[in-house]
Amino acid sequence: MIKKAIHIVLPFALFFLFVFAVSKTNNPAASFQLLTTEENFVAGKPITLAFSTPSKIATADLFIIHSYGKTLLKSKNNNGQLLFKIPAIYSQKTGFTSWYLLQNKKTIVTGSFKITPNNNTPTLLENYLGPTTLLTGLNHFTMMVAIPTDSYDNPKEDNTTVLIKDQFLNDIRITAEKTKSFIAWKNIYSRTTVGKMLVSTECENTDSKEFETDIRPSIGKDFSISFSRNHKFADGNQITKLETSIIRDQFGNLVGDGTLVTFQITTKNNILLKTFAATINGIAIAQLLHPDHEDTYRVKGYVTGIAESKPIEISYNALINTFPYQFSEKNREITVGPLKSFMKQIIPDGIKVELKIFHHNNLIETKIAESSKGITTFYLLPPFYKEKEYQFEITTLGVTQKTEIKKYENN
Amino acid sequence: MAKEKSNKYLIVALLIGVIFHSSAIFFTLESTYDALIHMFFAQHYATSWFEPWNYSWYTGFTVMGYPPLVHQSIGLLSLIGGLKFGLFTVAIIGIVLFITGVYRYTLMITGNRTVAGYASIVAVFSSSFVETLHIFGQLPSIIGVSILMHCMPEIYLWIKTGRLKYFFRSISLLAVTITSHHVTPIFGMIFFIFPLIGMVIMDVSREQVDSYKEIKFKLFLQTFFKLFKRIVAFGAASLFLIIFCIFPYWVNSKANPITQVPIPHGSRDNFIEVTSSGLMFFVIPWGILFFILPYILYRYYSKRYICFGLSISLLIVLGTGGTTPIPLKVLGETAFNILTLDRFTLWASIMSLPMFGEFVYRLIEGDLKTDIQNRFGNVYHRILGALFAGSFLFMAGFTITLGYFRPFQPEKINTLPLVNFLNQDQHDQWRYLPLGFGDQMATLSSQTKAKTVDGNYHSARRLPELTTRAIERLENSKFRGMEGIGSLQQFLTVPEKYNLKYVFSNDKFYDPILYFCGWHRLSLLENGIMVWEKLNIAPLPKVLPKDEVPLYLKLMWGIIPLLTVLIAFVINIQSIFYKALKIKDEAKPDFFKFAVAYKKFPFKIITILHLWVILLLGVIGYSMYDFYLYNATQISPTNVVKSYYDALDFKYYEKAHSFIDPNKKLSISQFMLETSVADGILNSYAKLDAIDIQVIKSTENRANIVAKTKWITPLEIINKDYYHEVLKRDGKWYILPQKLPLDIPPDQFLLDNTTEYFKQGRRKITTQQTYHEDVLKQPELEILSAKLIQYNNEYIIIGELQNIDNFPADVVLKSSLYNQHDKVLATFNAKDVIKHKIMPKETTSFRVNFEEISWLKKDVAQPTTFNPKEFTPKDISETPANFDIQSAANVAITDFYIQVALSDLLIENNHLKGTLFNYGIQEVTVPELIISYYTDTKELLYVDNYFLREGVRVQRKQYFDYKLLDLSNCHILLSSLDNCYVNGLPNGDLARTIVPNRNKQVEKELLQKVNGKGFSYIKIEMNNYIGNPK
Repeated sequence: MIKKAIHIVLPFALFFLFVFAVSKTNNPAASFQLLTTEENFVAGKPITLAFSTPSKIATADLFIIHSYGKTLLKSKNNNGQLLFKIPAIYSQKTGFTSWYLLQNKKTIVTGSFKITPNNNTPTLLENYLGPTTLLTGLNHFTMMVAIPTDSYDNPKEDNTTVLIKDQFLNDIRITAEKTKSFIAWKNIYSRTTVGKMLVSTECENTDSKEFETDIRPSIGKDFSISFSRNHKFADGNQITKLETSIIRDQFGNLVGDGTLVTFQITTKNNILLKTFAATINGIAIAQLLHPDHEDTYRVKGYVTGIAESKPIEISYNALINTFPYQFSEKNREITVGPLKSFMKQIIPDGIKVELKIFHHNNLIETKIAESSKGITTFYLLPPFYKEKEYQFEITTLGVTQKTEIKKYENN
Repeated sequence: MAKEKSNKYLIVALLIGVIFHSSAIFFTLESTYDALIHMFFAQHYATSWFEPWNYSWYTGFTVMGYPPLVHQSIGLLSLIGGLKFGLFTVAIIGIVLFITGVYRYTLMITGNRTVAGYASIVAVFSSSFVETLHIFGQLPSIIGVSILMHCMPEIYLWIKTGRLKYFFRSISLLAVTITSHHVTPIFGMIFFIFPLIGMVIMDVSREQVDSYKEIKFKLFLQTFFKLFKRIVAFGAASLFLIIFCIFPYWVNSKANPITQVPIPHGSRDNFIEVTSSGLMFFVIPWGILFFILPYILYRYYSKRYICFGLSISLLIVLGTGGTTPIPLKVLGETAFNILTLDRFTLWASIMSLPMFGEFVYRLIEGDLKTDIQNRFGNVYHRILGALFAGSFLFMAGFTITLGYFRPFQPEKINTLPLVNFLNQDQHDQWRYLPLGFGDQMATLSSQTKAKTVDGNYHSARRLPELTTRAIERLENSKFRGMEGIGSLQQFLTVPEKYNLKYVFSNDKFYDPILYFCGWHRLSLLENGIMVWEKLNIAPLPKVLPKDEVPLYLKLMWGIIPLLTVLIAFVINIQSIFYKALKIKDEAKPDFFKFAVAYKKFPFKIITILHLWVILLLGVIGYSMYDFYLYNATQISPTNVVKSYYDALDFKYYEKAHSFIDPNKKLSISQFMLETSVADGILNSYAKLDAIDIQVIKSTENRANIVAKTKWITPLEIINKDYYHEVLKRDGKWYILPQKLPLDIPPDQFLLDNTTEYFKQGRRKITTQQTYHEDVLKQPELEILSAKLIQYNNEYIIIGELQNIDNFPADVVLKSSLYNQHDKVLATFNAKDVIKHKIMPKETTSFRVNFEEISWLKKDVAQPTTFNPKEFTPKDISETPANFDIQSAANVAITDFYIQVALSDLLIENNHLKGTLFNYGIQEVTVPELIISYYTDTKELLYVDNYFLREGVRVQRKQYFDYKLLDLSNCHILLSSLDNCYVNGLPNGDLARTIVPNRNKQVEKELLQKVNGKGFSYIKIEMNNYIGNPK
């Protein structure tokens, strides 16, 4: 079995050995000389390097290093002449190219050539504009960058002229910029009014598309605030509207819609309350619920850290000075009210009434109920309130009244 | 020998079985627990047969973690008629294999073809089989155990006769079992094949003496040594097959050992305490079999079957899970926590089937029938038979319809809109996360190229965030309490780590946490699923990491399983043909010699069975009575309140209303209106976790009750006490209706002007990358302050930032801590203590906690209570010397609701008691307060947050009560803006060009003076989540 295998394998092995040996010894050392004299080529044109050698059989490889990459080219000895055709992907790209002629892994001849942009092809323009939004003012700018290239995407030689144009309202400006290190660029400064600026470029009869950048208002200046309300009473059920004046930036533009204004309210007791609003057309309108007790609010508006208003004062008058209450059902039912408002109308439902229950001056429980039709009722269930006497404190609409001590029967 | 007739019972069983099960699977299989996972694996094999790596789940995992035969078969068939065709075809094959398997197994055990026929009929309706197929969908398990049953007669014959053809038949079938399910052959060896060997030895010994009684241990041992070579040959061959056939599986198990925290499984519960687990894993699989358990044990403990008797006893005990301590002791801690113990009950019930068949045969036409008829009369026998058959069929019907009456899965989701969404606009370049999909997430995965961080085969989980928790999937994390939500929160807070950009929410429950982690709603798909998106997430890299395995493993994995089927088919086809078509008379196999003649049914067994049934009925009756008492709604003050909350929790308003005092004349419509007006975290996103009802004061007919409730919400745990007055009328307790809020809003009609935003994305209709000029400039932020603090031994970054741009911004804020040598100690993002969506010029305070991947260390005790707010702070052993903050803003267009005013505030007893008033036109579902604390020099010291329990309706007030913190042990370690970056640029560089002269004093005017512990001023900010934007 094994013997048979050897009989098959051996002839093959010998054959390959022979073939490799032949190819190995087939390339005698020889001298080469560059025939091509040009050292500058234009991108896109075919490039061929020719070498001559006295040997009729010797070949060599050409190793090239190009900005696009490296590669090894092979050639045949055609009657003492070797031709190397640089592949199109290399010859279409500009840059400096070094070449090394290698024979049997040894460098024999070296040299270099340069490929320059092809000015005979239509020019292409690559553009970048940023940022795409600006603030009004004299210091903010957007940068237009243009890269003119030939059709093979090779940047043009330096000092190519690019026209950079911008339009803002009626103002159209055109400047000519020269490319440097492949690019031409310009800082286009913002204006003092809000609007849209269009920018484009032109180079060698090629025009770019339209680019845009929005000029938006810069930060607001200080403003004033005002308020409006239905009445001045502290009924806990009406809304006071707080409104800013039109907030503008330093150039008189309305600040951006959605700018947040914080209204801070300082009460008589130095408690800070807050309400918020975002501007529309420069005005922010926030709302605030009336207090349910007498108070004076000091209100100030802020665009935090940026702008603020002068404070204003809003006073709320007390709705009542006193209120009636009755005990019934063996003192077990306490009825507070009717609570009446400033025109003797019954107050809106839902006013909070607080009942504090004391026994021998110790607070036992606080019950809270809301008024309905001006009346609030509390009921002390006998099983749960077993003491013989209780005293109560009733608070509503900022008014507190203390009752006398009430006696209870035990059942 | 006369020609054998076809067994008509078997044919009947096959006909009924195939019709019954294969028509039912079309309605059940897709909503089972496992079937869709098998389909997903099948899809993997259908698309890349030899490549074990799957990118779809868990940031990539290997499918070598599960024996591939069933998946590959489905995958292969899917090439003909699609995945579902493959799934159903394999399921039907499984049904046929199971019925014939039971037939052959019974034939071997009893040696009686009629009995075997009966057994195959009862197998069709056996509740454990019905449950495994129609509720669990465990196809590999069914196919594995069926082939094992086919294999057993061959093993018997090999050991008995020593003929090589039986040897090859048996091991060829065993190989198929191994490649379809790994656990079945391993435990099958112990529980099925060992007893089988014992039985063969008994039979061989029996041939040497006159009866089984004469077999003594010595003879048994002698026979054993006589057969030893055959046994060893079989044992060695099967061991080799177990290793060789799924060799890549073993290699993978060694490379990726299961080091995960065990996932709780119902089969490990105490079935008496957790009755639902008891039902699923004990009552249903046993079903009616449990009533004749004494008979089964009596038969299996006869001398011939003694080994089976021991085996089935062990199986019964192991199947009881955590009810008794024995399974834990027998299996050891590790195996107990990895295995699902329901399989033992399944095997026990399958092992019982021959005896069940025998019992039925004897009851219907055998000696038991005669005996009962003689002793108790014909009528009794018929009634008994009818009851027995009736309850047997009822169990099967009950099991198969269980999923219909109590769905285990969310309603079927139409995945097409999701698939389309993922294919659109390159959405599949990011990972997605489904929430509330149940096992249907596997369906989605099998239909799309897009990848998810989650997955549905928990043994393959790789991310430590997942393997360290006992959570099966993120998708259903709300059922896993603290660990689930905690894990989900980490994924949602740091989504860029996983390239996670989209969340598909099929469960409103998760909405608040998504919002507060900085996600926003994108669109509602036509199947009702909400897509949430997170900004500032990089797409997946083009090349994803994978674990490479050697080529030979890939080839083994791809070739061997189907090859085993092919070989088994070739080897066994002849005998199947002969048997089925009766072409040739085959010699009756040896086990026919040992059939028992059913002559006299022992009366004491009849007596024992009667007593056992009476005992069981007694237990069942008592538990039902107990259940009734526990659930009787109005027999005591506590019961009525408890029932009321149960009813509300499940939104059974009508039932809840029936507990309200009827004398108060509260109509159901009024009641529903009152209970459902208030939206909020508690009303819309909470699940009642526990309720403790205490009587405060009580008299004969009246009581004051406090219901201390504990609610699970996605944000935090909420404890709330509700006070109720209850009274007794006509022997029933009722709840007095709560007083409803009377407050009326100021205006009847209101209008509101707001600025709305829209972004185009790509302006050209193209599938190409977004053009440079269509990319919006990132809004400019300014970090106003940043501090490293130490609070309760935890290092925290706090600060304030402002959107100084004209566009609203979505803010992502990431912070890292460094030691003295600039080594990163920890990195995390701001979670919910920040307002992620801010308006132009709006400020927000923020806090970054450095969270550890929770409970990474085993020795850290895991908290047993649920609190999603809780997390394990990262253990930073070195003192941080420096920190940095990387903030990024992107243009946001939604979720800026600012129309909530702080309209009243009272500071007393270290509490902030305040009122919020909503003046806009959207109902705020979850208001969050961000409370910043300042020192006496008005320097930021700490930032805290507080979620209001109830929402704020339009033009209404909502009260809050917040307890101020004690910050006496909170220290500022470092206060610096040096290493703060905005959109990749140093903080302040651009800000100074926008806001040249910032008024720092103003920020200090906005602080509220308080006398706190360790602080002197506070600031309150609001972050409003709108659950249902109009």
